[in-house]
Amino acid sequence: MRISTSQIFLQGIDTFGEQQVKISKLQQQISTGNRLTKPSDDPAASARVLELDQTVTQALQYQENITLADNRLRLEETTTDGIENVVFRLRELAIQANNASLDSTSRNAIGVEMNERFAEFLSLANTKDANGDFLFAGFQSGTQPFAEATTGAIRHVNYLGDQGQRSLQISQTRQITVDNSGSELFLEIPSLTALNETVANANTGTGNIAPAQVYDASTFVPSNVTITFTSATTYDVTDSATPANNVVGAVYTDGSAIDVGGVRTSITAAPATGDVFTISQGQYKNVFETMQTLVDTINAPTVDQRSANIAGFLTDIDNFFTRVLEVRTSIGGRLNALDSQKDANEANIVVTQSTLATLRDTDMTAAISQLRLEQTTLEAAQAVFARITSSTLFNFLN
Amino acid sequence: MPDLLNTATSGLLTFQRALSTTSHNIANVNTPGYSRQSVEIVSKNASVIGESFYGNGAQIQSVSRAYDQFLTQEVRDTTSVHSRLEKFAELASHIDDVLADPQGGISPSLHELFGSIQDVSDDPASTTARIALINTAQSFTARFNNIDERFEQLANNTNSDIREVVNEINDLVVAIRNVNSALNDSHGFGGGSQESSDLLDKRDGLITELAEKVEIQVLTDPNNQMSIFIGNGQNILTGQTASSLLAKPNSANPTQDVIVYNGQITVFDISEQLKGGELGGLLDFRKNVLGEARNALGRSAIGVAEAVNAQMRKGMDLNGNLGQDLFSYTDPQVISASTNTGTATVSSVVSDISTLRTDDYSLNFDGANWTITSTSGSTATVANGAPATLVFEGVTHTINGAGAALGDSFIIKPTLFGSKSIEVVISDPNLIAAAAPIRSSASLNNLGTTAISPGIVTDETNVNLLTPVNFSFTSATSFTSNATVVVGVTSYAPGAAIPYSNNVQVEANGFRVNLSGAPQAGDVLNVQSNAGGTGDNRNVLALANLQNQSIFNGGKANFQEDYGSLVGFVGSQTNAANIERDAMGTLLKQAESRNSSLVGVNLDEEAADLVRLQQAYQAAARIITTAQNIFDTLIRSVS
Repeated sequence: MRISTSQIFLQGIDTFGEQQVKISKLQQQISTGNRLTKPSDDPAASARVLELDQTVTQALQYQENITLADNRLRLEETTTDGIENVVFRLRELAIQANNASLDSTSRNAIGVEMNERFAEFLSLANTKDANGDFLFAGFQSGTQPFAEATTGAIRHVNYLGDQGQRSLQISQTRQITVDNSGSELFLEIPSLTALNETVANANTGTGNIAPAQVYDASTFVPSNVTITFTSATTYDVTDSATPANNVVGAVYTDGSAIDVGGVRTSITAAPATGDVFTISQGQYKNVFETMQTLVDTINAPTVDQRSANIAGFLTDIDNFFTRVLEVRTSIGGRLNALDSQKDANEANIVVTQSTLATLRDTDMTAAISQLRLEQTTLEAAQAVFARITSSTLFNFLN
Repeated sequence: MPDLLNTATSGLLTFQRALSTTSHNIANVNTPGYSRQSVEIVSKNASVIGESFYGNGAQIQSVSRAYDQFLTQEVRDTTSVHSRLEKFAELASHIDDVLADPQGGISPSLHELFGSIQDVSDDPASTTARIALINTAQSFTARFNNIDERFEQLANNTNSDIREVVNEINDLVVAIRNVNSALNDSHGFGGGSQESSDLLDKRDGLITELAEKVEIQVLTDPNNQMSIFIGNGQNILTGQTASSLLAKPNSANPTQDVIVYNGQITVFDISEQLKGGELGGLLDFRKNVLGEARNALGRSAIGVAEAVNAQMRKGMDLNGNLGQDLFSYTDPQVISASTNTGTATVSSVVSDISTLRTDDYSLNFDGANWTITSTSGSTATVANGAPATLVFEGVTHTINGAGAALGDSFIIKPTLFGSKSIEVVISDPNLIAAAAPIRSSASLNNLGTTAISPGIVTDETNVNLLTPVNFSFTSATSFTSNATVVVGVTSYAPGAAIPYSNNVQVEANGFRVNLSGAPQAGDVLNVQSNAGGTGDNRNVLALANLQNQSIFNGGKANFQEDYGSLVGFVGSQTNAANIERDAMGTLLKQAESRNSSLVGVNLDEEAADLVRLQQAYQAAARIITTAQNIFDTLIRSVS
């Protein structure tokens, strides 16, 4: 077979070109440490790398969320700790105050401390988290959840939050709640002396009933109390359990106390003729009401009333303890869950990153020895080219 | 008796010419397309003297080039295929580069966007986190816009390349025609039947150059005139009559040029028939890679926008209003064909991401019905109307068919401008809808253990969504509501008794809640507007979860997988083109080398010829001396 002179040159040059392309590719892979410089290098691996990258980024975000969730739950834990301490002290004070031999000065001193402890308790209930959000306000975390108020003769604490709970995402499939609503922790406490107040739907006046309280546990019997206005200024009272407590034609004064069988309430504003207000047995008593009754009890007129009220307080506050304990147990459980999820995420990150490395990273040993090989081939090709092109018949013709 | 001197002179002349051919070969050793030439030396007719024949020396019969039709055609055909693949691979690698850039691709900004969404869920009331979300959303859309800009540039460059190549093709055809006519003039020059080897070389070179631009078929007639055909046998050159191609904007789609065959008899759009060569590569790339990649990127953008917007609308912003769209994009592009004679109009909107495809569509009117056909061949039909609505592959087309004329057609590109047009439309951080619009509660006066789930929005367009709703139990097994309530398939008017069972699912005013527990008469459960719920992150958690939801491709791919499949598609197209190009490159080299081994000049061979001819020339010259000596001897003997 013939071979043309230009072919000899072209073949040599083609080989150099091919080798140089391979060497430049290897150089890029080695210097960047990245095997995939373009999707076309390995299309399937490139798409897979994108997905794994997302898995890692997401897992890192979940770890960040876990830290925040952890912070928030620990804040709640510390706060409930403080709440427990205050309640312990109030319990002690209540028992002290129940001592019949105590003189009124000492009892007043106890009353002063009780008031302070109550204020401290209220401020704990209004705790803010690191972002300035109220911890126990439910969704309405921008609003202070607990506020003292007075309706007529009754002092009480209003809840301005809701029953919502915030969750954070801690893995692709798992959310964890990072607080408890104030309603759950402070309001929904079961009690035998819980009272519900109802304003009849058919009422035409503007009359409003204050939260009713058991101010004298010694005379309290669970019952339905109905207050019916016979005119704008007079009302009748019916006590379903103790008809002896029934009143006819009492005179209405805006905001004055209405006492029926150990229960005290107030009606404010302007009720109209025929308006009906009822007080019935309820399920939940909020812990502020329990405390308010205790504070008020210090000045109770009779020993019987005082000791019955304090006994009631002790029962109610034990129910509250149970709730705090439930919440703390659940916080502990959630903190544990966070820890184990954190480990799981970490393990996921490590595994994914190692998969990423095998897909994406240059195998240095292989790449460098490959580079040596390609260089040797190139050098050999160059040497052969020089030899072949230097021999021509013209050299021998003179 | 033959003349010794004449015989010697014929040898001298013959060898001189042969030497000149050899030197022509040597001089052209590096000339591309040059075929080595050789002389055919024959002996002159002999003189008859008596009964014997006496030779009269040598002469040159012909100078011819080394040529093999099969080898030439092989090179030409391989060149067409190779240059198509080369062009295609070169263009595809541009897209490959765009998507490869780790800073420039979509992926990192997608991660950032969802990271910011998570940050808002961590602290929903934080203005800083909300501003950061708007900023990352803006850089996310800017990334889409930038990549599309580069795609568009590539589309414009491809278009101008197509025009350029078409001009080159026309120039080459004219040049070949000129050689044809030069050959016709020189045919039989001097009474012989030889063609000029150099002209033939020139024409072969031009034809190979033409084959580089587009696939051609070549026919040579007995007079050595060449005819060239393109496409499905349209003649672009017949002997000395050349036709031309013309690149001009598509009547149905002015952004893309079509190629029109400007024949002697017919004029028509030949784009679909042109294959091979650079032109084939350009057309192939434009249709199968660039168009597809742009549509796929557009679909990704539309998908993110639609999914995020839908979730945003289900939420409540910091001002206590229902959420608004975060992103906007332009609706599908509808192009009315310039040949339409009717007055029908079409408008299209994307209505379902999960079935949205990356196809383009044509909508044609046959006088009674509209038929839509996708580029992948699926079709649907709807009777004409004003309006007629056609829901097809995730897009709702509203056809106002009054005044439609037979043959009217529209091109619809649902996803082409998705990536170009996506932008963030919210600038006020308070408008990020992080909260759910409703919250539920159980009354503290309840005597039972009734509980209510947080509630899910099923229809954010319900005007009563934010109106307070209560569920009041009249007994342990029955309740009423102040709103119309749907349980299962049964609807209950406000105030009607609704049977209760544990975990009953009820729907009212566009939300759904679960009621559970053991109720007592008088228990009340409430659902109300979540105004003031600044610490609620339920909706932003749902937004964050969109990252893992398979919303594309009939519920089979999430955002990342959808974008990943685009990267995979472009990568494998480029990869395949590179491999095929290299394989075809090897074939081309083999074909060239086969051809070159026949027609190429070998200097050693020429050197040998040089020596051979030189020696023969010297010998012939020696004969002249001999003849002179003979003559001298004769003269001396007579003097």
